[in-house]
Amino acid sequence: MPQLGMAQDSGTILSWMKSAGDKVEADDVLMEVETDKATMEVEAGASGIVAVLRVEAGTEVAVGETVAFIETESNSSAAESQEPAAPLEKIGGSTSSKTRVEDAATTKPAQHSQKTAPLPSGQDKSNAPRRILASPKARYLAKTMDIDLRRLVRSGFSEPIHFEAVQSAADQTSVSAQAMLSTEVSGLGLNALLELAEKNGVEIERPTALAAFAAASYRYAKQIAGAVSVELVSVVSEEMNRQFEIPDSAGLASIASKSADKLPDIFICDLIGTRFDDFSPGRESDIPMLTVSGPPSGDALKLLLRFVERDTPLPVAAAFLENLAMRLENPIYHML
Amino acid sequence: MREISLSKAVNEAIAEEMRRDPKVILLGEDVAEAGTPFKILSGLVEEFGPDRVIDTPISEPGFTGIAVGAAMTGLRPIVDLMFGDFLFLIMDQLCNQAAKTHYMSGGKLNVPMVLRTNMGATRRSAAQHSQSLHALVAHIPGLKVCMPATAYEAKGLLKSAIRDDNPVVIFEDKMTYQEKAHVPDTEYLLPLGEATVVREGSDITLVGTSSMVQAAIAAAELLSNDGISAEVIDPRTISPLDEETIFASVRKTSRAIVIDEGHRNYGVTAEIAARISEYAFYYLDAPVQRLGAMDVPIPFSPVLEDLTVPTPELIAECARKAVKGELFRAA
Repeated sequence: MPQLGMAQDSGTILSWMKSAGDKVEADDVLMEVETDKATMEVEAGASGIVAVLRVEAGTEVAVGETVAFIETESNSSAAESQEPAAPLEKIGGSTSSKTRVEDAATTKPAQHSQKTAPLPSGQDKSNAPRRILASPKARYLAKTMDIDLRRLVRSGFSEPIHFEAVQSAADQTSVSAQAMLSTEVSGLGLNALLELAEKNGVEIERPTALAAFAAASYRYAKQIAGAVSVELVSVVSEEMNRQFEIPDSAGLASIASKSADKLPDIFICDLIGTRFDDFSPGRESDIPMLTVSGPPSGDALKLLLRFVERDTPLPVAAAFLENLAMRLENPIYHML
Repeated sequence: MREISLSKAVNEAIAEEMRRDPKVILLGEDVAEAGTPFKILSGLVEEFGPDRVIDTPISEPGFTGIAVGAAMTGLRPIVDLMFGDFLFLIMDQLCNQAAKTHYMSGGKLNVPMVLRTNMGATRRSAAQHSQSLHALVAHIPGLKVCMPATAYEAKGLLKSAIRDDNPVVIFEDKMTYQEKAHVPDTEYLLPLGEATVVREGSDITLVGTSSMVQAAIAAAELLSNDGISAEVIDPRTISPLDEETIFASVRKTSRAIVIDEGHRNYGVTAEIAARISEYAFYYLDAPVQRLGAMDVPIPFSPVLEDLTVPTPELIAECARKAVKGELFRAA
């Protein structure tokens, strides 16, 4: 039912000028409609065969409701064109009205009848997403940083989106987007080393060895020299967290626990022997975090590195993990 | 440094150049004994005599045409056009002859003339004596257009204009003739085509011409109370236009308002705003706004006349809207 007047919300179909099966031209009068203001003839708006008249003459119909289907001639199959539900565009000052017809060539009849009335002319943008209002500067930054403006709108920023909003999203993204890289490695070499040390009366715990190896691999991957600070994160108690300042030398003897007075270069979370196999810190951090997990025997280890690519590019992270795996599998490397 | 009025600065510039170069002459209506209705040129005829300071009949096309011819044949005339509104009378002499002679003579002829005239409303002079018509002239290739905002600029730009080998049109705002500014005792020139940053700021760029520079400065003061830092740019000449200074400012602030006393429609503000939108597009965080004279004949009624001109309050209001990030119109 087309909207024939500004304040009209329904119309009564006085009579149908065509019956189902009739051939109809777009400018043929299809029906006579009475509103509270006037009685008007409404044109078909599409050429074809009248497939269905859904409403009997004399019935009052709400604006927007589908009242008939016309099968367009361009479709030899059963496809249909939806009829007068589409609103009207007045032509000049004449009283004649014209329906805009949705070409439904690709729509199956079954789906068609379930379809609600199309949006008024000009608002019918079908499936095209609405363009978010944003300043050129904001849009440019969003494009550069690969930020979806729709996400900003969903998260509560009001339109138009300005530079500041995109920038805050960009800052969050770059901090929180943590990349992950993982590998599995045999722990037999490390076990052998720890046993050997114990037999010789040298007390080395596995976490300490892990810290030392990780520090060496970090130096290697980052191509830096000097001490590396490693913090061991405990799943048992925060008080058991330990920070090591690991000097630039091979061996495990000179490692000592230090008070945690500054942020470490790496976090290590040792989950070996626990039932956990992964831990991801809730806070956002750009410091790489290594979790090591595996059965209590320590025979097989899973290494998982979380890092922010901005600070630790993937090749550096890969070099770190590869070097660490090598040290763990064959600790003799660490002594060289 | 001493302070002198804009009118005195113009007088000094002409006197200095006439002393320096005997080819410089001055002509127009009431320029000699009367010294113009604004008393700008008083004293010049006494020093340089009636052969070089020439009172003409009331015929703008006539004396402008004489000046074009005199310039082509070796003099450096300064034409005084009593009101900018009279530009309509001299369009052929200025735009068809002066602006095109160098080009059409294959570079054999120059027209080193200066046309001084005025602009600006709120003097209660009604629709035919209150217009700001610089956009008409700036539209024509071959003419340079200066819009001094202060006595300092008026003197420096006029001296450069007199020495320029091309026709130059200078618009002085008649409401600023008595406004004083620091002007050096020593000789100086201001290059044509160089803008100046009058006040530095980081949140919004206010590009103002002529008396609108003062309005922009006053608006910047108002805005600073709201914690908004406005940068004020004075282009000094609108043709040639120093775009780079404007773009550099917009790249920094991401927002701009262009203020000029000509009518807004198809005006100087439109030109500058379009260039910002075109060349600094990806730096813009708000639409570029234009403030100009209302698009009506300037009313005689003081109350109505005051409404036609951009004010510091209006500029500040537009600036707040841009900085707040309000929706302007979503096409």
